[in-house]
Amino acid sequence: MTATNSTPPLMPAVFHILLALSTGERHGYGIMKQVEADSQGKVSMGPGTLYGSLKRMLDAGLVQESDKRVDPEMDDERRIYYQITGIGAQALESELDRYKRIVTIAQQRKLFPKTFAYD
Amino acid sequence: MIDEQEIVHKLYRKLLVLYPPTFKEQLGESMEQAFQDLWNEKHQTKKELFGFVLWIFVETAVGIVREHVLIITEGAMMKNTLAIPRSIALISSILLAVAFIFAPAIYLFGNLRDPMGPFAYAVADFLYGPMWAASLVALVFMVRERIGERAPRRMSLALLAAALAAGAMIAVACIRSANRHYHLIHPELHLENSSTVLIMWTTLVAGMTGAGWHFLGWALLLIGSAGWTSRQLPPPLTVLYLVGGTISFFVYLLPDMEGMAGLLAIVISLWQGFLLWKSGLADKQTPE
Repeated sequence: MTATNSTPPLMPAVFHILLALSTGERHGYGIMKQVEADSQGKVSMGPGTLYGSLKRMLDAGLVQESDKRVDPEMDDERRIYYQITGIGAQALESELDRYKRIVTIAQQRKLFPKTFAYD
Repeated sequence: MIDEQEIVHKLYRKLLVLYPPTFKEQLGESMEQAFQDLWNEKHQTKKELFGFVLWIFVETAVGIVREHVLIITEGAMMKNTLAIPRSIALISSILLAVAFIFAPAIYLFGNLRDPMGPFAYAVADFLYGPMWAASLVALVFMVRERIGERAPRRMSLALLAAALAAGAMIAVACIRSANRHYHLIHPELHLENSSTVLIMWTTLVAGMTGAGWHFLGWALLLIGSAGWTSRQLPPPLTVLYLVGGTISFFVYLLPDMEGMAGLLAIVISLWQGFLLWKSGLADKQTPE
C-alpha cells in the first residue's frame, strides 16, 4: 500500500496507539502495555490519555471496535477490543514515511552518534 | 486490603462520572476495566501503589478537563487528533508576560486616591488574578500536550501544580479586590487605621501569594525536569525552567526574590510560547 502524504502529522499518543494496534487487536490495557513495550518503557500512557485519544480516533475512523470476544471463563467478556482500520494503517504508514525521511536527512548530515551508526 | 481496593475503585468510578455523558457512555466501562487491570498489576508487584493511584487520578482528571475543553472549543474532533492550535500558546505566553509586568507595576506605583486609582487597581487584580491564572494553565497544558507522552507523570503533576498556583493567585486577587472595595464604600470606619485588619490582610495576601509562587515553582521544576530527560526543550530553556522554578519555590521564604522570579518567568513564558507556536507552524508545513 502506498502511503498518501496528505495526512497531517499525528499526535504522539495517536501514533503510539496505531503502532500498538498494527500487530493485532488489543483491549485498552493491552494497548497500554504494548505502547510501553514498543517504547522500551519510556512512554507510559494512562487511561485518560489512552481513551481520550481512542475516542477521537474512533470518530476519525482510524480505529474501530473489533467483534472479538474472549471466553467468559478466561476473562471479562464485556472487554472491548480495538483494531486498526484502513485509514488508520494509511495514517501510520504516512507517519513512518515522514520519520524515515527525517532519519535519512539526519544520516546524510551525520547527526547520529558513532554508536548509532548504521553504515 | 479489600477495603482499600474497594474505596479506590469507588473513587475512580466517581471520577469517571465527571466525563461528558457521551464519552462516559462509550468508554467509561472500558476505562474502569483498564484501571482494574493496572491496579491488579501494581498490586501484584506491591510497589509504588500510592504513586500509581495519584498518577492515575491526576491523569484521568486532566483527561476529563481536556474532554470538556474540546467540547467547548472544537466542533470537529478530528482536528484535535492531528494538531492543536498553537497560536493559543503564543497568546497565553504574551498575556502571562503582560500580567507579570503591568500588575506589579500598578501595585508598586499606583495611588488609590487618584481619580483613576481604583480602576487601575481593579485592572491589576484582573491581570494578576484570572488572566495570570488562565494564561498559566493554558500554557502548561500546551507544553504537556507537546512533551507529556515522554514524561506523563511529571507533566500531569506540573499541570496540577499550575492549577494550584492559579487558584492561589485568583484567591489573592479576590482578597485584594474585596478589601479595597470595602475600604472605599465604608470610609467612615477608617479601616486603614485598624491594625487587626492590616495584619489580617497582609498575612492573607502574603501567605496566598507565597503559596502561588511556591506552586509555580513546582510547575516550572517539573517541566524543566521533563524537558531535560525527554530532550524536547532546548537545554538553555530547561536550565531557565530549573533556575526559575527553584527561585519561585523559595519566594515564600525570601519575598525579595519575587522580582527575579517574575523576570525569569517572563523570559520562560515568552520563549516557551514562541517555541510552541513555531512547532505548530512546522507541523502544518511538513513537506508533502
